[in-house]
Amino acid sequence: MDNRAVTPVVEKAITMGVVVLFVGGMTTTLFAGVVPTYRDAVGSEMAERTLAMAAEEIERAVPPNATAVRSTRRVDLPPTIRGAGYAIRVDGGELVLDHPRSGVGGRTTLALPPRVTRIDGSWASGGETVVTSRRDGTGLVLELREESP
Amino acid sequence: MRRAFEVRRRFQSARAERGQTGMDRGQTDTDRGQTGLPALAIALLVLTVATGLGLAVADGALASAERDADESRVASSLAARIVGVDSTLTERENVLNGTRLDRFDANELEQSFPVSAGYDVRIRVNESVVAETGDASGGSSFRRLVVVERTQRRTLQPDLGFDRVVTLPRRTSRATLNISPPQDTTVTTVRANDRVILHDADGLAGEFAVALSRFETTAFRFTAVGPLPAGSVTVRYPAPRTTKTTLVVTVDG
Repeated sequence: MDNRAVTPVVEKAITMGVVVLFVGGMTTTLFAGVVPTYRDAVGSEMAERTLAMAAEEIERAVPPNATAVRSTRRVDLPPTIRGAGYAIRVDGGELVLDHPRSGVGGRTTLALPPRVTRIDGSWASGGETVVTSRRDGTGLVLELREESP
Repeated sequence: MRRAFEVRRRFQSARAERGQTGMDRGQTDTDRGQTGLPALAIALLVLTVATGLGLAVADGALASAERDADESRVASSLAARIVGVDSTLTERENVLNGTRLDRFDANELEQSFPVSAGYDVRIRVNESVVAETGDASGGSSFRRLVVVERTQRRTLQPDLGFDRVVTLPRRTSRATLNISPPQDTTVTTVRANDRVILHDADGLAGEFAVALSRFETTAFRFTAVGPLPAGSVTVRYPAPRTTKTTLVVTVDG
């Protein structure tokens, strides 16, 4: 019984097989369970911060009170969140971020002075996004637009 | 018996050829291939533990990077709106009116600043709470340096000297002059810092509200035909007193 053994070649083969199985199993576990959870968490945090930054830039784009005033302010948005493009639009007095994934997105209220009577338009991520202001009959109008560079 | 002995001897000589005698028995263990496998198992176990630790560290890092970006943005926007030019509380940019600030409460906060709807907001000026909707402790705060202005109305009845000049002791942006000269006197011109603000060749009399420059001290000079005793001219002006304090806006969403 003492002399029964496995030759070194077979030992190396067993070692390689075990290691390959281990790495495959670990990768599958991580990518099936842990990695998507982390990516979702980061994606929703990114969406919240992007929305807050966009709202702040729009509020800063309101020009001082004057009779004839036009302004254009460029806003830098991240091109994708969670690997997909998104859209930012205005709904009532709120700014909304639309994203294809269900957990990513949000809405927030805009704090604009009373002389801004209307705000409309929308942004699609990845383009040259600007917010313009002009005066029309009712008051100051803000618009979210995309400029061709 | 003899054959077994011979077989054993042959066996021993064969093993002696291979360099193994009874004394070298222990070395045969190294020829067994599977003795390396426990080391592999321990190595894989250590790798699993390291991966688990790495995931725990990543979890902690993600949890500590939570920012509540929405609350911070609402707090800073609300603070900017409160101290802005269009606000109901301010005289000018960053200057809050003291009496209007005393009257400010949660209802007016919700009406005048609609961005605060849906959040618990607390506004403090100089460490005392001015308005509060809900419980805002644990939210994000935003501080701004502001000036609170309280105005006192002052009246001056000067004894006009030989030059008929009276200087206001405080800088103010407007004043009300009450000119009531005696019967035979005609006040023709009133100047403020060499700028003519009132002129009537037939004589000025009555109450006049004049606008002055806030940035320089105003000296009134009266040009009149006839004597101007004390009490002919009364000046009423607002004397603002300003205090620099901190405005803290706390928003909890």
